[in-house]
This record gives sequence, C-alpha cells and structure tokens, in this order.
Amino acid sequence: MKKIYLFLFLIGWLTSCETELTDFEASNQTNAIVVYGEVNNLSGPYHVRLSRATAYDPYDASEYMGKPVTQAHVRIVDGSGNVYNMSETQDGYYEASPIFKGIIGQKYQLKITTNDGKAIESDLVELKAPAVFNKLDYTFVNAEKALDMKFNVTAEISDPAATEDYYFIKRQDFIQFITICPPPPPLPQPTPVCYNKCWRAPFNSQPVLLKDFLVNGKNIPIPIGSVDYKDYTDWIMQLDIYSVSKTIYNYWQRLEDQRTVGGGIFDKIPAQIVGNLKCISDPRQEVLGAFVVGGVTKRRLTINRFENVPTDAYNKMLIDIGVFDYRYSKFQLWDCQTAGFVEYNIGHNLPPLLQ
Amino acid sequence: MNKQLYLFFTLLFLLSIHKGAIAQKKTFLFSGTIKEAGTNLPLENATILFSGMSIGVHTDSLGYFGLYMAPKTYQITVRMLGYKIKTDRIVLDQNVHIEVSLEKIERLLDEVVITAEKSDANVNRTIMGVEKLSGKTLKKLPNLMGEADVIRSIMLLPGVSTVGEGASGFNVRGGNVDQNLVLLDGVPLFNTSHLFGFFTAFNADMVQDISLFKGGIPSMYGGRASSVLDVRLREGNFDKWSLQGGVGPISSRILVEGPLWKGKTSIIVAARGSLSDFYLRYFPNEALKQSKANFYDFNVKATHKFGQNQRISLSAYSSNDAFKLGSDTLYFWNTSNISLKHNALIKGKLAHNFTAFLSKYQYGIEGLSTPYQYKWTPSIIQKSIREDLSYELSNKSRLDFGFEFSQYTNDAGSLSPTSAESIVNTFSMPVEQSREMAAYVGHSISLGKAISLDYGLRYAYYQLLGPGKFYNYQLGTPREVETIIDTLNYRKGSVIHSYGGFEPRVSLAFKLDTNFSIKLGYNRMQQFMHLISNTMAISPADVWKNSNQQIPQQIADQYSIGFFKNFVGRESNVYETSLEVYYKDLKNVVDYIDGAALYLNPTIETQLLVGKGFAYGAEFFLKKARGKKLTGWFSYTYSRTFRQIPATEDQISANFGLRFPANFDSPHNFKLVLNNRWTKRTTFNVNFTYNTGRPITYPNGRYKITAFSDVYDYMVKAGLNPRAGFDKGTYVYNGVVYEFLQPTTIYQLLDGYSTPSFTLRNAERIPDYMRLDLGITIDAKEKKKWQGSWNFSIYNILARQNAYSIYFKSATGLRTQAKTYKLSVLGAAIPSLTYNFKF
Repeated sequence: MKKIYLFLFLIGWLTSCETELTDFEASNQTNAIVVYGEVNNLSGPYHVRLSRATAYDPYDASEYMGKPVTQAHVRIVDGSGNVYNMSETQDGYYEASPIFKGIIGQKYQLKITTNDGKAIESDLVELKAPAVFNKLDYTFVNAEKALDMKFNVTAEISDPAATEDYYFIKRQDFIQFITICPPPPPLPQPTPVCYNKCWRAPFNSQPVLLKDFLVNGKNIPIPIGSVDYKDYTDWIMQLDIYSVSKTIYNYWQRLEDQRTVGGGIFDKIPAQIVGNLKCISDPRQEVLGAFVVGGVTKRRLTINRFENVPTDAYNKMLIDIGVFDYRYSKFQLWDCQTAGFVEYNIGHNLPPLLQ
Repeated sequence: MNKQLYLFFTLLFLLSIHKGAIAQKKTFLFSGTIKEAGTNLPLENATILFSGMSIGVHTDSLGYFGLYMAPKTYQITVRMLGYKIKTDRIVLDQNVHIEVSLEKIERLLDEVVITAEKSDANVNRTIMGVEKLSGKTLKKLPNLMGEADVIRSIMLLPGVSTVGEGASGFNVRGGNVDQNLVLLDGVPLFNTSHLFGFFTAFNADMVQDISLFKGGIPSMYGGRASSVLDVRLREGNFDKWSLQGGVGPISSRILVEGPLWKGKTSIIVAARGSLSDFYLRYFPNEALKQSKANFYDFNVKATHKFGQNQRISLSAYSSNDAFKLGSDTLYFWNTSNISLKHNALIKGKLAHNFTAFLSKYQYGIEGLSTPYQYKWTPSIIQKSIREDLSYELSNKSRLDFGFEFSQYTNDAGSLSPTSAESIVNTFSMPVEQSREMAAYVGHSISLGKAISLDYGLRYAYYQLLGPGKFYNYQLGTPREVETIIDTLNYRKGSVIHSYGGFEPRVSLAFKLDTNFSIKLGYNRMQQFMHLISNTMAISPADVWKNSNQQIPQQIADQYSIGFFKNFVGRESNVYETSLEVYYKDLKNVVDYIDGAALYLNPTIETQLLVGKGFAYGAEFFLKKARGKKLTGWFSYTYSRTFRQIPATEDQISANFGLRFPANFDSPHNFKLVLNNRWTKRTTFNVNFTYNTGRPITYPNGRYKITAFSDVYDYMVKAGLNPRAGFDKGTYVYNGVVYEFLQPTTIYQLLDGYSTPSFTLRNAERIPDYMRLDLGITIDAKEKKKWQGSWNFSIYNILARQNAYSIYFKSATGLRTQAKTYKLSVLGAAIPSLTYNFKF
C-alpha cells in the first residue's frame, strides 16, 4: 500500500521522501534469549544456537550476533519421550549426535536449561512430510543490453489437496567465478598449478514463504525471479523447501512483514514477534526465535550459462566481462580460493547437498 | 431490556403530556421565507424582529421561519448583515406567510462571514462541542492541490486530528476513525476518501454547510460512538439555470442547477473526476503507463415544493476510486446511494422530516498477476427509514422525537478467480444480516432568561440475524480456531445475538450575561458496526464487522464543561472565545492480537480483542467570525487518548495489559486560520498547524536468527573459515590511487536474519508536526455573466519534511543490517492553481 506514495512521487505532484536516520540509538533494554534450531527428515547433525538480543545499533558489526548463551543443557525430546542431548561445540552453538535423524510423523520438542537455571521449552511440533517439487527449471531471456539479459527460473510445489500446508523456503545460490592466473615464472622454474575456478555463495537470508490458502491442491509457483548473465560460468541455485506448521509459517511471515515495512500509512504497528518457545520457569524471561520442525526437500538447479545461449548474446556478455573486469585482471592469483576480495568466496568446492 | 423500554416510553408519554399542557392559547402561525434578491438563494440566520417586543426569530438553512403569535398587527424588521434592511406591517388575524427578498448592500468591502451560524450562537445555544462551517468558507481555505475539501477543512478545528498526512478519515476527541458518523444529506458513508485519503469523497461545490458534533450530540443522531459530521447538500435553484465548475491539477468538476418547473421543482447535478489517468499515459515508464489512479463522484438532487410548507426531494450519490501501480493489483472502492426525503411543516408547529435511503458501499482488491487472477469484493448494503419530528411547544420549548430503522447486509467478500489460467480457488466468506432500531425523544427548553436545557434519550437496539454459521468458543481460554467447541447454523431471520441500551444526552447552559455562558454536557453513544483495521491508518480494503457474541457494542460516555465568552469590539460579537474540557470513557473498543490476520478470515473474532479506552482534553478557541478584512481563528488543544486491553478468560492482552496511547494521541495541538481580504475580490489565506508527533513503537534492541547458517557451518568444518588469503590494499601517490594485493586472513561473519526487538506499544513519539499553507483567492467580478475566479495555494510552504513515521528495517544479507528511516509523505511545498467558473 505504500505504493501510493511511490506513485505520487513519480507523477511529480508530491514529493514524499524517505530519509535514513544515522543517529538513532535505542539502548539495549532487553535481556531476551534468542534460540534458533531445526529438526528435519534429513541426516544431521542438527544445531541449536543460543544468544542474547543486542542493542539496536545500525553499524555495530562486531557484536551483531549477540552474546552467546553458553553452558546450557540443550536436548531434543520426541513425542515418545526419547531424549537427544546436544553438546556445545562452540560458544552458544549446540550440536546433536549425527546419528539422530528426524522421522516424519514424529513430534519433537526443544528443551533448554541455562546455566542460571532457566528452563525454556518449545511447543511439541510434528515433523510433516516434505513438499514435492513439481518443477525447477530455467529459460534464457535475451535483451538489447547485456545487463538486461537474464535466466528466468521457475519452480513449483505440488501441493497436496488433503492438507492445509505451509512452506518455508530457503534459497542459496552458488556462483562460479574465474580469476586470472599470473604469468608463469621464467624457466627453469616450474609453472605452478593454477586454480582459477572457485565458488562464491552470497549470503541470502530472506525466506520465501508460501501457503496453500486459496490455492489448495494446485501447483504453487515459488517466486524466485531471475539470475543475471554477466559471465558464462555455472550458477547453481539450491532451494530447501520446509513443510512447516502454521505457527512457524506465521512467525516467519510476521518477521518478513516487519522487515519489509515502508513506514507508510498502511503498515501494521510493530510488535514483538514470539515464536514457539517460552521460559517455563520464569514467565518474565523473554524468549525469541523459533524451533523449526519440518520435512525438507532440497534441490539444486544448475544454470548452464554457456551452452544454449544465442551467439549474439554470448558476444555481448564477453564484452561486458572485459569492460567491468569480472575476472579481476589486476589481482592475478595462482589459487582463487585465496581471493579475499571476492565476497562470499567459499573456495573450490560446493558444500555437499544433504539428502 | 423490557424495563428499559418501559422507562423510555413513559418518558415519551410524560413529554407529550407536557406538550399538550403548553399549547392552549389561541394563536396564528406567522411564517415566511427570506431570500437573496436576484439569486433567490435562501438566507440562513436572517433575523425577523417585532417592533416593541423582545422576541425575534431566525431563519433556518432553507431561509424559513415560523412561529405562533397572538392575533395582532405587528411591525416587523427583516435584517441580515450585508443586506439592506426591510420592514413590513403584518396583520395577524389568520395564518400568514410572507416571502421577503433582501438586496445586497453595495459596498467597497462587504463583511466576510466564516461561520454558518449567527454571531452569538456559540454563547446562546445550549449544546457545546459543535463546529459549523459554510460551503463558502470551505472554498476560502488554502487547500492541497486546488481541492476545497471538507475533511481536510475540519482538521483545522479544535479537537479534530489525524494519524498523519494523507491518512483516511479523522479522529475526534480520542475516538477512532470508524467512530465518526459521517452523514451526506442524512445518508451515512462508510468511506469518505478519494485517493486513499488525500481528498474527501464528495464535492465541496455541493455542500450547503457542515456541522461537526464533537460533544453535545443531539439524540436524533446515533450509530457511532464518537462524533457526527453532518454534511448538508444544496438544493438546486428554483428560479434560474446556472452552470459552475472548476479545473484543477487533480480533478475537474462541473455543477448544473436550475428549475425543472419554475418556483416549484429544481434539480442540481454535480460531477467531479480525476485527471490522473490522462497524465499517466504520457510517462515514459511502462509501470506508470499501466497504472491507474482515478476517482469520480456524482451528485444529483431534485426537489419539489408543495406550497410553502412541504417539499420532497430525491437524491443520488455515487463515488468511485480505482488504484493500481503497474499491472499487479487493483484496489477499488465505491459508494452509491439513493435517498428520498419528505419535509413538511404542519400547522407551523410540527416539522416532519421523513428519510428513506438505500446505500451500497463496495470495496475490494482485484489480483491481476499471473497465475493469481482473482477478485475480492466485500460490500455493505444499508436500507433505512427514519422519521424526525420537531414540535414547537412554545417559543422557548421544542420537542424532538423520532425513530429510525436500518437493515444491513454485510458481505465479508468472497474471493473468486477471474481467469481460466488462475490457480486461485473460490473462497466464500459469510454474509451477515443485521438490523438496528432506534427511537429518541429530546426536549429543548429555556428556563427563564439564564438557563436553557437540552435533554433527550435515545434507545438503540441491534440484532444480528441469520442465516449464518457462527462459532462457540471454549470458555475460560483465549479464543482461537482450536478452541471452537460448536458450530451453530442459524436459519434466515432468526436472531443470533442482540444488544441494546439507552443513550442519555443532556446539555445545560447558564447564560451569565449576553456574552458569557457556562455549559455542561453528558452524552452516551453506542456503535454496533466496527471497522477492522490494525494498520496505522485505515485502508480502503479494511472490512467492517458486525457486533456478535464475542464483540459487544462500543459505548462512549462523554462528560464536558464549556465556557463561552464573546468580546464585543467595534461591531457586536467580533471575537468569540471558548474553553471546552471533556472526558470520554470508551467501553468495548476493538483491538487486535499482534500480527492479526484480518482478511478472508471466517473466524476473525479470534484476531480481535475487546478493551477499554479513555480520552480527555481541553480545547481553547478564539474566533473572529466576522469582519471586513480579517477573519479567522486560533485554537489550542491539549488532549490525550489511551487504550487498555487486559487479558480476560476469553482473550489474551495487548501490550502486556498495560495502558498505551492510541495511534493518534497528540497532546499539544495549535491551529491558526486567517483570512485577510485585501480588496473586494482578493483574499489572502493562511493556515498554520503545529502538533505533537504521534506515538510510535521503538525497538528496545535487535537480534539475529541463524536460520541461514549452512554455508557458514560448512566453511568452518571444511577449515575455510578462517583461512589465509589476499585482499586489496591501496595507496595514493601523486594523487593517483594504486591498488595492490596484500596478505590477509579471510574470515566470513556468521550471517543471520536480523530483526528488531520491540516492547511497549506506542511508548515513544515521532517528531512534532508543523505546516504552514498560504492561499490567494481572486473572486469573480460581480455582475458579469461569466464569473471566473482563481485560487492559488501553496501547501506546506515551509517545505518542512514532517515525519509521517520512523521505521526500522532490516537489510538482510548485508553486513549493515539494521537501519532506521524517516518517511515524510509531503516533503516539499506544493503549489496549485485552480480556476473556477460560474455563469
């Protein structure tokens, strides 16, 4: 609905304006414990991270994860009463046994006892059957300008008609990049091996949320958009579709609603968003975050940006590689994994796809 | 309930006995109509004085007066400021009716009057909390983009506020937007906005006058809890045809009026339409070319007079809005109504006003993007009849009584696909039937010269009717879908739930001298339909909900005291001052669970909370209502309004059960309106508004959710984080920047979903609001057949970027993740030029 302001701005009659405030400071008045953990139907190990909320300080990057909550007793309890303890592998980071794997139809609950005796529990949540991919594909879209060329990606979930379903979807892209090798050393020195193809994995922490309300039993499109055609290297898109409870869906939807506010007249009044956890020993202790239990389907789509692309498009793209120096020609390296100047550089290999 | 009804009718009976006791002596009716010579327009508030007697009478908005007097010969004087006085001799040996035409005084500067009332009405009338503006005053005020605007104008009055620039509706003395009864010629409107709230949905050219009742609401009004905005529309000219219109940057309008049967039947037709779609076609942007932002409104009113004392009118009104940006979603809302009125003055004492109308308000959203093409169209149909009677018991006593009956069909809007390729399923929502009945009686009486009393009682009764499916929820636990224990199916016409209650209204005035009065008031209002909106400002897609088992009627009790003093300058009653203090107690106000899902929700009561509220304030008002050069007013209001939603056995609390300021709570409010006439035709106008910023919820911290840590975990396990590598380094030599590689440790930060943590609702405030508007109006030259006038306005001439909101946004996926923004809806001075014509 904030579109009206954009509209009025564009037609030039009004001049609505958005100004970033750089001097806003809210002191940290909360002692909330933040919990996030998952259990799904794939192999573990599953993790739970515990931390504290921090001050609202826009540019404080050093403490932005929040102080870890250490030495807590963390365990997952299933509906049959089995307890799966988790061990602290880093400060505030708890890991379950790798042999523990969620079972579809079983219920799970997260229980935490902090070192100062506070007992935190999640709801007992059923692990739902994972969603079924109906389609994951792409098509090339040519354009006059190289920067407008793109690959449209389409994906669909096949929604079962018999159930009310909610989907929480993570997207992770892996983009291959190429660096330029230095000139070989003069003979008789041996020419080192040059590794010039690596991957970068831009952090993408915005979920896609879907539900089958109004489209129950249909093939539901996943709004993904497109990937660019700035290079001919491979682009791999990974989608993790979690079939989650209504509570978890609503939790993420409210987070997204609040994240995407525009300050307009039709924004909802912001409020604390509480997930499915609470402190049962001290109701005044605020617990934020969520314990996500859901069947998950993971799929990777490799977008081949080299083959089946029209020659004219390919040639336009090649010119842009040189113009915009997408190969980092000034910084030649024998090993692209050492390129710290490439953001989100994860090296030579892709993480394994857990199934 | 039966006991209450018994009491009500007993009171009615007693008052009718009182009426009979007073009207005994032999008298004749002396009545008349006062008009402006030449135009034949009725003159309101003209005074008829009787030589040698202390009594006088004023004309009403139709220029009519009437009173019973003893048989005698009277010398009368008819006067009105700006017009030549007329005298006449009346022999009252039978009922006498006169028609008087007053000629305008030709002066260099006529007096300007910016009120719809006579000069001492503020002191003399019994009720308080009433503001009146004439249609002419509306057009003199500086405006936004050339549109004379009713609701934007009443924002300039004390006690009226809004949640922000461009927000739809208005708030009166701590009441919500939906608690205002907005009557357009007696027909309630459910949406009063064009273009999401920037403009009022009816044409100012059609407005005869507006009355805003903030307190002291007469017993004839009901159905909303907080205030009444009664907008009366003009009748067509009975004697000659005329055409008027205007061309502005946003819309153009035209009005035609004239006699269908000279002196007997008139018609007035007005239309206004936006020009936005015309402009949009020429923008070099595809999204804008596909956009739509149009609105129109249309009025027609035909009136027929049966003699002097009886008339019938048939009116129709239609307004429509459609808005979309690009090609994805279309928002629309429209109102259509048709009404029939019959007014008669029976034997000069009993005024009868019968109104019947049919109104439809439809709104909704149309999805246009593939494969989600759908249309959602909720609507409210209201069918009403009402009879208002007013009986002059004597010159000092009047009895008002009547009833109204309304039938509502409230369709919550089924959603259906609009194309074959749409994947959207049809979704049905309930259609609720309800009816409201009310009867009232009110008595206005002067008790001696110093005291006047206006008291009344209204009984309102509401029934929610079948057919329908309604839910029973488990008692003792907050309402949720999971706590539904029973689904009840009701047959057509069966009563599902009912509410009712008395609404006493009392106003008492002590007139200490001719220029000073003290008034006391109390009134209760009830409301059975509620606008469901949990956004900062209401949106046109917000649904209305009937009271049901879980949502009782909203009740507002207002107590007020006022001091009214007029200071006499060189001319009588030049400066009017008042101080009104009020306290309003609100019961059963509707609030929402955090993150409530309000659309297409058949169990919407699970998202609603019921609580209480209160508001208090003091309004200081200084007004120069008349003057040859300078007129205007200044007001200062201190007001607070709070809500409290405690947990009960049926619901959770909001804001931890603690009291919080309402979204539109604004303690300090200054308003200044000045009209300065430079020449006979040129008027300079100034508006100045300053108020405390509205409440806002600030974060008390932020936190990260590590849902997206798979890559980070992989890198840690694979020994890649941290690892040795190279980064860019730079140095500058002779002004040239050189880049080089330098060893570094590559270390990726763990990212996450960043979100603010919030706590108490509305505990902070956005910055204060201040705005100055200037306008110049050049009126048409008189005596010319084609009368063209210009209005040039600059809205927000200080170009102040008033904050509409401060908001907190997380830019996820980036290192700098929590940001704070200020949004100003109008960030610059906005000039506009409007041309109006009449011939």
